[in-house]
Amino acid sequence: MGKKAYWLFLAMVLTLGLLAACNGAEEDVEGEPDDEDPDVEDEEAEGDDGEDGEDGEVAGEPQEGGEIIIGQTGDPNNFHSAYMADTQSTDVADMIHASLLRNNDEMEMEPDIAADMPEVSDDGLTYTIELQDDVYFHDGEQVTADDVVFTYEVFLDEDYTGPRTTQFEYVDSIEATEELEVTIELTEPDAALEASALGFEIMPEHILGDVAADEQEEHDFSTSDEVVGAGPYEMTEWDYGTSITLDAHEDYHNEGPYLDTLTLRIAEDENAVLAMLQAGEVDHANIRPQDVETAEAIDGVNVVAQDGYNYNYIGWNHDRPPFDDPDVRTAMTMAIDREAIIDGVLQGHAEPAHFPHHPMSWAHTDEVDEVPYDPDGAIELLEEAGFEQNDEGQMEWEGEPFSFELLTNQESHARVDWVVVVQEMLADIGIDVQTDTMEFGAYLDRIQTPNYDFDAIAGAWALSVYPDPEPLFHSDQYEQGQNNIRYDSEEFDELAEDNRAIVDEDERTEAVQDAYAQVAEDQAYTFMYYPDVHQAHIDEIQNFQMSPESDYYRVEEWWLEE
Amino acid sequence: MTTYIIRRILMTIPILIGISIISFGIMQFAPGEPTALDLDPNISPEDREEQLDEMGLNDPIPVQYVRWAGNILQGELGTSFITNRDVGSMIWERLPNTLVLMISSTIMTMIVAIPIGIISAMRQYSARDYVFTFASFIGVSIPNFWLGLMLIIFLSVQLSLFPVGGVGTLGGDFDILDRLHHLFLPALVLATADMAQMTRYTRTSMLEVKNQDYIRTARAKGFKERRVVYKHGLRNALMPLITMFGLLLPTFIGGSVVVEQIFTWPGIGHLFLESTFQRDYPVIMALTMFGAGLVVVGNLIADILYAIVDPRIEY
Repeated sequence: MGKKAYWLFLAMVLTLGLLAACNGAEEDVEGEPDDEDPDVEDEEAEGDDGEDGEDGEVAGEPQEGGEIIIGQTGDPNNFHSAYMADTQSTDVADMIHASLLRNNDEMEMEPDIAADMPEVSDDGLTYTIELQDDVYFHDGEQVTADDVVFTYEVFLDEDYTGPRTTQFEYVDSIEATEELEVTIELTEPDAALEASALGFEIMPEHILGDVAADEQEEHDFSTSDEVVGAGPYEMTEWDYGTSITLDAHEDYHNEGPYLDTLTLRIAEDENAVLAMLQAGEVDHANIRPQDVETAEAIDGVNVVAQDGYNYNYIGWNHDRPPFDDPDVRTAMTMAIDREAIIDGVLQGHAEPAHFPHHPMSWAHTDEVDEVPYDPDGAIELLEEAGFEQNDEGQMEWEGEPFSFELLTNQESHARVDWVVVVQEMLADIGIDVQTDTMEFGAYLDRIQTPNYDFDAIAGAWALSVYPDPEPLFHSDQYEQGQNNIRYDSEEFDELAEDNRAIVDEDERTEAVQDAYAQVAEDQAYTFMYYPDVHQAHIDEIQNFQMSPESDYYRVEEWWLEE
Repeated sequence: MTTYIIRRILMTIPILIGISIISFGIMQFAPGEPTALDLDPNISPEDREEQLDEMGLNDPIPVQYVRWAGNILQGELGTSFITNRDVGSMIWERLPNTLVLMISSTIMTMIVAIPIGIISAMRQYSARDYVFTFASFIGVSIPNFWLGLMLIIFLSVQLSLFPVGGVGTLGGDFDILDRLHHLFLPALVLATADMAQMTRYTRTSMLEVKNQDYIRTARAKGFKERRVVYKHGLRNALMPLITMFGLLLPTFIGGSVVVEQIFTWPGIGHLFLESTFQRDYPVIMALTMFGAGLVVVGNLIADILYAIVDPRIEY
C-alpha cells in the first residue's frame, strides 16, 4: 500500500508539473521588480502621459464621486517602501502612499509631499527638503519630518535585509532639522539621489516606529489591509486573491481624488481580465498587444496606446567568438528586418530600437548611426570579419558552417514568436540558428553567473527613470552583476564610471548619453524594438492618464462622467 | 479492523517522510532561486546574497531540510519568501474555495455518471448506450482548459448567463444563489472528464455484476427490476467505484490548477502554480505535503469504505 501511495504521489507531481508547464504560457511571471527586468512582457510597463494621448480629454470640470473596478493580474505582495520589489505591489502602493518627490508625465521628478524641489548645496553633498504643511496619513496624523527620517533610517539600518541599499550607499546621515524640514548629508555627490532615493514612499512612524527594521517586512502593516499611507486612496479591504477596495482619502494634499472608490479585481491572468472587460465586469484593464483588436471591438471601451518604457533585445555572448567582434554583431543586426517583425509579430504596435534607452528619456541621443536592414551588406561585413560563404550559401566560420543557439524565456509570447522570425532571416544569409525557450527561473539560472551558458539571448529590459549605464554594461559587472553578455569596452567603462558622482546635470547627461552611444555603436546588443503598451477603459472615465511609472498613473485625477 | 486502521495510519509516517525528502530535494535541484526573479540592476549582488542568507538558502540542503522538518513538526509552516505572510494562513484562506469546487464537482459527477452508467449497462448496445458512450469519449477527450474558455466565451461573454470568474460578486454580502451562480461553470468543467470516466467505470462494473448468479436468482425470485438493479446490482457494482473515488481525491488538486486559473478561482491550485514560478519554497513544500497527505488519506478512506461496503472483507 505504501508503495502504491508513493507511486500515486509521483504521478500526481508529474501531472501537476505538466499542467503547470502547459499553463505557464498563459501566466505572467510574478514578482517582477519595478525597474529593469528581462521578463518584461509587452504589457508590463506603461506608456506615456495622457496629454498628447489619443484619449478623450477633459470634457469639463471634474466631477466627484463614483466607483470603478480595475482588472489586475495577481495580488500585490508588500506595501513597505523598503521591501517592495514587484510591479503589482508598487502599482497599488502608488495609490496608498505618498513620497517626497514623484514622477511627472515627462519622467521628471516633481514635488509630492515636499513643498519644493530639494535645495542642493554647491558641493552636491547636502540636500534640504521642505515639506508641505497639510499632508496627512489616512488615520489623520500629520506627515512630518520625523516620518521621513524614520522611513529612510530603515534603509540605513544595519538589520535591514531588503533589496535597496545601493540607492543609499552615499547617504551619510538624514535628520529632521525642523518639524517640516529634512536634511540629508552625503559622503559623495550622487546625481541619482533625487530620482531614486527621494521617490520612496513615506511610512508612518506612529505605527511602525516601535517595530525593528528587519521585522517590518512581515508586519501586518506591510502585508495586509492595515496599511496606512498619505496617498490619495486608503485601503479598506484586501480579500486575498479576489479583490482590493480603496476609498478616497479626503485630506489628500494634491489634486483629487475624484473617484470615491476603486476596486481592484484580482484575476489570475490576462485572458481572464480580457473576458471580464468584455463582459462589462471591469472598467479598466491592461491589454496585451495580441488582444488590442479584441478590446477595441468592445462597445463603450476605449483603448489607449503609449510607448512602453522598455525594449526588447538580442544579447550576444561576447565571450564566445565570433560574437566578440562588433562587426559580426552589427552584421547580425543588419540581417534582421525589425520593421517586418514589428508588423508581422506585433501588428505594428512597436517602434524599432537603436539605443539602450528610451527616446523619451534625457539619456537618449540621436547621435548614433542606426544600423539599417541590409542582408547583402551583412554578408559583406561577415566576410570582412573572416566568414566565408560556401557553395551551398552557408556562412562558414573557421571552416565550419556557422550555427548558434538563440535562447529566450517562454513567458513572453511576442518574443517566442519573433525569435523564430529571426531564425528565418538569418537563414537567408546562410546562418543556422537553433531556438530554444525555457521557463523563466531556469532561463535565468542558465544565462547568469556562474553559468553564462548561451550563445545569444532574446530578452527585454524595462527602463529606469534614472538611467545608470553601469550595472548592465560595465566590465566590472560580469562576475557579480548584470553584464552577463560580457560587454568589455574601455571606452564605455571610462564614460560610464562614476557618472552618479557628477554634480553638474548637463555634464552627467552628456556622460550617460555618450556611454550609451558607445554601447549602440558596438552593438553590444541588437536592439529590437520599444513595444507599445495598451490600456483599455470605459468611455465614462475622464482625464485618464498613462505613464511608464505606474499602471494607474494619477488615478486620483481620473473622474467619471455621469 | 481498529488494529488495521491504526497500523495503516502508522504506516503513513515513513511514507510522508520519504515524500518530503524527495520533494524537498527535487525542489532545491530545480534551477532558479526566489531572489533571482528580482532582476533589478539597482539591487546589488551583495544585497541579493544577504537576502539568500536571511532566507537560509545558502546553507547545505540537508541542513535546510532538517530545519524545515523541525518547524513542520512544531506546526510551523513558515513564512512565504514572496508575500512574507504566514504560509498556513495563505493556504487556509484558499482551502475553502478549493474544497467547495472539489465537492460540488464530485457531487455533479456522481449525480450524472452513476445513473447514466447504470442505464448504459442495463441497455447494453442500445441506441442510448451508444449515445452515452460517444458522449463520454468526447467528455474524456476535451481538454478542460479549452472547454472552460469556450464556456466563458459563449455563456459568459456573449450571452451573459454566467459571471466570467471569481467566487462571488464583488462587494456584495454573502449570497448563496450568487455563490452557486459563480460555482456552476468551474464545477462543471472540473466534473466533465470525471463524469465521462465514471460513467464508463459504472457501466463496466454494472455489466460484470449483471451476469452474476445472484442477479439471476433475484430475478427468478420475482423481484421487481428496480429492486434487482438498485438493491442487488448497484450495491455490488459500486464497490470498485469507491476505490476510484478515493484515488480521485488527490487528482482534484491537479485538475483544479487549470480550472482555478481559467475561472479566476482563488484556491489552492493557483497558489501552487504561482509559488512554483516564484520558487517560493515554503509554500511549495507546504502544498506538496498537503497533496501527499490527501493521497494517503484518500487511500485510507477508500480501504475503510471498502470494508464497510463489503462485509466479506476482513482485516
